[in-house]
Amino acid sequence: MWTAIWAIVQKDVTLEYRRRWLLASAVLFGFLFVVVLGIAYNGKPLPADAAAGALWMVILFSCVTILLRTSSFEEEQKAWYGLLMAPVDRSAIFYGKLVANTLFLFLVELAVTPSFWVILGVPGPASWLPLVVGLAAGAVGLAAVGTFLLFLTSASEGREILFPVSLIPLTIPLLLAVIRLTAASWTRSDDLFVWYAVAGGYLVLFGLVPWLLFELLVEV
Amino acid sequence: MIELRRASLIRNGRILLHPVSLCLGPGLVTAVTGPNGAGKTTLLRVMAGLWRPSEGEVLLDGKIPGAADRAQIGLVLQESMLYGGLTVRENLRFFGRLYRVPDLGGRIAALAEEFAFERRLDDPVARLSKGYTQRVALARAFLPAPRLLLLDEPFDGLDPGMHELVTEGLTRRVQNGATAVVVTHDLDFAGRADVRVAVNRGRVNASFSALGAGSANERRPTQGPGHA
Amino acid sequence: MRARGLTVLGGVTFAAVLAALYMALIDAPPERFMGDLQRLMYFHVGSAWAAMLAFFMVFVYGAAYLFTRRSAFDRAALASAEVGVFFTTLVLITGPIWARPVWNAWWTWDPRLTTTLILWFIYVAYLLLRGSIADDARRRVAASIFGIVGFLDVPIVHFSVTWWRSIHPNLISGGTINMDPAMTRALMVNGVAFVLLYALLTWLRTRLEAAREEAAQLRHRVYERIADRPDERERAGRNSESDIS
Repeated sequence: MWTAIWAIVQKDVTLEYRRRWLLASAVLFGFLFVVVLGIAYNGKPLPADAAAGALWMVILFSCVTILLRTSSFEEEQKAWYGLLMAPVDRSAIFYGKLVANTLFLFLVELAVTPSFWVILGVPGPASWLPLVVGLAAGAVGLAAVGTFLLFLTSASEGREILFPVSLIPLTIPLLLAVIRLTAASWTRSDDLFVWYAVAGGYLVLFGLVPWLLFELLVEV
Repeated sequence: MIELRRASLIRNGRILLHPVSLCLGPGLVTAVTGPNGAGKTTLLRVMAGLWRPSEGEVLLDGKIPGAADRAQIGLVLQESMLYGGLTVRENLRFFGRLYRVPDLGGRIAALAEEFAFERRLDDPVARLSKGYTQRVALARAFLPAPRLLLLDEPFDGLDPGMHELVTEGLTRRVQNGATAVVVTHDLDFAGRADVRVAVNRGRVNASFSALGAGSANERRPTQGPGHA
Repeated sequence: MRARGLTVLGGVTFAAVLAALYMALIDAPPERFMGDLQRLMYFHVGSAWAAMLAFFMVFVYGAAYLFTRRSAFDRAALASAEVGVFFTTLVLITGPIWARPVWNAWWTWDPRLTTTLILWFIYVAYLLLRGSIADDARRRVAASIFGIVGFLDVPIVHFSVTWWRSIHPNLISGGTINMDPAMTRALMVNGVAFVLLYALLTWLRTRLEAAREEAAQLRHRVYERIADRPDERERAGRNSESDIS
């Protein structure tokens, strides 16, 4: 199980590294978004709430493009069937893809987030903890639900649009929690326990549900 | 080795595969022939367990295959099932680790020698010609030394010399006790096979060169030689 | 037999809807501050209850399908989801109509309203997903799993939205209404009527889907017969030959 997960992660990282222009474009897209936002705000500093929302918009967009890309690796030459024929519990495939996708999302977050206080004049974070936890929980949660939905929508004809359309409503609680955490890191809010709890509970649920349902999902 | 018990496949109300009963024992080469779109690939995928039959069952060694039994199956589809962005060696290493192949390095070297692609081991698969890709795809399937070989058009894109090489490799594995099911348009190969299966519009008819003519349509389950 | 059940349910539902209309529009007294406008609440709450039941049933039917693989459960899940989205749309339309004069805003981020909106998005995505998968076996599995995951998400959505709104200063307060006994009665009868309506619509929609699937199947059978004819003659010839030998 662990060997299989690790092998899939390594494989995805190698593939992504060979086509690193993709991650670079996702980051560039984020920067461009920030620049347009700066123009729209006429040079005035952005309020913390709006900045947090905008940051997560960028991450959501990157998440959709990156995840659709990594799943296209599997489908180009049906290598996907090779994974399914492996003598391991099939949820290992899910967790392997999940870890790889989390890594890529986290890289994009690391590159894009600083641009918010460099370009948009948002003050540097007053407290780091909610920011870091928010970014990490967001990356893991989006990657988990996203990876699961990628497999769920794999037979769909309109996958490019149905994937985000089903991803966003299902991740609303997570987005709500991480956006509040991000905003709080700029304004120094007090009672954040609830949002840590929501993010944590969400991660536990969507980390375990695929383990139960994944076999059913791929066996057709 | 592999047994189909009245396995059928129905999708969107269409019968893609009429109920078929078939039992193939070790040491047999089965050739599956038929016109395009007849259901040959469908039959192969049902055998591989990639598609769950709508009715009936597919048994491996007399039982429904679990996760661990999947390594017994070597599958080659018309697509290469390889990652274009990885080199040949990386592809084989990846699948070898996934399939828990012991002594992976030695195994890869041996297969590369057998199918004559040692010199392309460090080239990305996307840059290989069709013939090379096909041989690597075969090597990928043979990595865990499977006992059931399910090959969809394995001779596609191979020149006559390579065709010979692959046939030899296949024969050697079958002599060592493997079961091979080969979808092919190559009538010469089909003529030499032990079992011939003709598929037409989802109906499967088997005949055995060893035992004379027989039929395995939905009404008469076949007693394959492996069964006897 | 089944048709008679349908007639009975249809009759009961018709009577219940008439009773609900009477109680909501005539029997119940107008509310003190909001007047007749408040009568909208009976339908609003009734359809919200029916919608919640519908989405719960999508979850139940989805799980039942995955366990038994009987397509009847999948058809029932589809019917439930469609009827559920319909009732949710009613909730989302009646809500703002009521909110505009009372709260002076078309939309407020009221926890229940927000949850309903997100539910609407989830189940519209469910229906779109179903529509976009051509292969029926994969569609059924994917839809069942989406129905399960979507419903598991509902409580988290609700709690997170509720906490979100309670942390922020809630500008709108006084949502409670002093309920006259006649009002409570009207609300209950409306709830029952909407649930019956849900059952009736789902039943009809399930039958429609079954008929549609059967028609598709028959069409394929006809095509296959036509395509088979020369083949069958040929096989008949071959069989008689082997009989002779």
